[in-house]
Amino acid sequence: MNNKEVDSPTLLHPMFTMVFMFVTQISIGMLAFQKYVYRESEHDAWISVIVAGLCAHAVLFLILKTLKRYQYQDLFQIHVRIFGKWFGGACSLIIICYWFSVSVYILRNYIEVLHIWIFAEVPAGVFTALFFMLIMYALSGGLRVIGIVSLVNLMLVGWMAALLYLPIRQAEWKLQLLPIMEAGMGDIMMGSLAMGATLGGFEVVYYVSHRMKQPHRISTYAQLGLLFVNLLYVIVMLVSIGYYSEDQILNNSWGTLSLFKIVQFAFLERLEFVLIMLWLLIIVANLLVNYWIMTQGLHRVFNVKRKYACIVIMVMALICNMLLKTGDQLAVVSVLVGKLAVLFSFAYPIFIFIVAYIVDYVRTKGKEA
Amino acid sequence: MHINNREKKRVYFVPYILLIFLVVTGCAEAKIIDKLGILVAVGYDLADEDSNDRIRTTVLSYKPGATSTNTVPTSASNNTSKGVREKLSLRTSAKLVIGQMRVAAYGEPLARGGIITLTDTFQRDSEIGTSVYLVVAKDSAEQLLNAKNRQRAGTGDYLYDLLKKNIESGIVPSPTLHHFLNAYYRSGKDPILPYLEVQGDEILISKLALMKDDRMIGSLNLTESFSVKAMMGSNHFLTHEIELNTERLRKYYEPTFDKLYVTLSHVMTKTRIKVIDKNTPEFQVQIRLKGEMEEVSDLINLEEAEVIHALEREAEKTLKSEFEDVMRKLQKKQVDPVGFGSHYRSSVRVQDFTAEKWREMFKEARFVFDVKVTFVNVGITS
Repeated sequence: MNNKEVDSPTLLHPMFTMVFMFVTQISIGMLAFQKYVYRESEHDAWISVIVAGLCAHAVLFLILKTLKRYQYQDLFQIHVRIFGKWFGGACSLIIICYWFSVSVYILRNYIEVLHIWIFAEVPAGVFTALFFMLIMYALSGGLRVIGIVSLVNLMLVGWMAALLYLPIRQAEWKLQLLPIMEAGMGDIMMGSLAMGATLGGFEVVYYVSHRMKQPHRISTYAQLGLLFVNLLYVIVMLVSIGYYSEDQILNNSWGTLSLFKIVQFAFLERLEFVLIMLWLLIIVANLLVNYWIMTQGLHRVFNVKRKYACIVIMVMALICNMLLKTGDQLAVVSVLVGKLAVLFSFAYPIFIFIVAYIVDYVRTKGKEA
Repeated sequence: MHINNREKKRVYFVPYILLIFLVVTGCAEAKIIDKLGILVAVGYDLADEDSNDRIRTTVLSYKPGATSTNTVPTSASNNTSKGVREKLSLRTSAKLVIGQMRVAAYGEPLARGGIITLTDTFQRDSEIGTSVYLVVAKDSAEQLLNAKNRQRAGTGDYLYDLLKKNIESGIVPSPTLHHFLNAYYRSGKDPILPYLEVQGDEILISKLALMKDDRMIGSLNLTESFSVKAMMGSNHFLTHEIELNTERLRKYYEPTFDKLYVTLSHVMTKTRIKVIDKNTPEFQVQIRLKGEMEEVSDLINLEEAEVIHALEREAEKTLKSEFEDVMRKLQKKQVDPVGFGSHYRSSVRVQDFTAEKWREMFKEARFVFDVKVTFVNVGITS
């Protein structure tokens, strides 16, 4: 790390690691994760959420270790350094495909929410195109703009968490949470796996760390960010378990949105509409980070201009979004992306850590010999 | 200079984006408030037997454009509650929107057959909030929504206010869509809904409808309703009248009538339910009732604390026997609106706890009531 880069105005304060973690982890999953976890571990679902959160902390620790080993270069560069140009490039492409599927999954699911709640008649393609215009515009400003936009968006949405007070008032925790640990260990683990799909996204530190001032300081911020996200998920899960009854939670595809259905003010009948529209800010921030990672990846692998890379991805995403026509097609894709998320957020960083360790060990041995 | 050019380019981009947003707004469905018929209440009944349709739906909507609270009922029959919109729209000039719906009424014959499919559509519908009140109407919901009330308020608003008041400080447990579904989807609890009647030019809540799953199977009178609501947790009642046994109180006053009644106001109840025997099962129900004593039906000198305590003990005995009576009735019918099953499930580790299993256990369950009544004060005079 040379001095010129530290002083560069395009670098961000390491605190932004937290912001990036918030927006990548809390996206569409936050609106609908309860059902999938509850299905596995029933009223002990909150334990599953905690277990998944602890696993995420451990994996994040490994990610940070790997980054430190490679002087906070991004994952695409790490791939090249571990596997060489060709195989490393292939790995990067796979990662880009994964982020692509995540971005399609998030945008299409959000459009589904818009379809169900507000604009039943507007075609998905129109929404996608609108989103892409915003994204393209913000992307041209680079990661710094994305970081600040994300921070502002988070602050605009964050206050909604206070409204959880209303469902909390009606929650019957004593009846719903006890007895603790009724689900077996296996169920808890299956629940954690389901939760993993929602929690995925913390590996964003792989890609943004090299744009931070003093990147060695990101560890604390990253772990802290993850902790906040985990706490939020646990709280929402606890509220949902207390507020809904057993089969009610399983019946509800949008658990968090329905929590807000009881919030009612004299001047505002239904608050979840406000939540949905505010959630747009979170989705935009999330997609911005996604698209930035993808364009960055394509730039690194093929050395193409970011602008063209971005346009290519967007055209592909637009086609994918338009191909997904019905709710059940979307459900199939969502399940698939959920599995990919567990694989790429949890398993892959561990794999990279081990391989990096071995490669380093072999190389230093080779040098000594 | 280079950066400046880039910045400029980006700024030029902005108006184009804004222009597109302007054009795209046309894609969304416009809802102009003057042209909407806003639904306030919906009623469902069984359709006539000779027709092919299954459900008769009555909607109560505000007259479009009118500033008064007047609402107009419209009815039509169809096979599904939402499919009927097609037929209703042939009868109304306004576009009916359901987002402001407050009350959903089900005719008793329909309610006895089960209403879950009709409530499920509410839950499925993103336009409807979960604080809609569900009620059972005597005879038919159409009749209820067509009824005039003495206050001459719009029927929809009147129903809503009537229910809301009695939920907050009366004997009606919350019958919102959320609470109904919450109880329905819970293995150890049954829903309970208010039962509305039209008597002459008056709409009133006459009793509570006991629901077994989603079917109405009986009802609770006012005393029983009080007992059930008191058992359902911390509640607030405006007033409650308790009959006292005169025999044991004879030494404190000279009875002029055969019976003695006290009326409490601002009644607060606190209830704790504990499982004390897992096998029977046996429950201990601890009820603490506090209230201001506002009226005694006979002349009693209340200067002595001893007298007040004696009245309190008698009130406890009466309440206890009322609680026991209502539990016997509920056990006979095998419905559990209080949710003892939930208490059982949360304190005993039972594998595959199901509603059917609980109904069998509930029939055999025993309840020990520990009632404590406190008269916070006896008013200004003593």
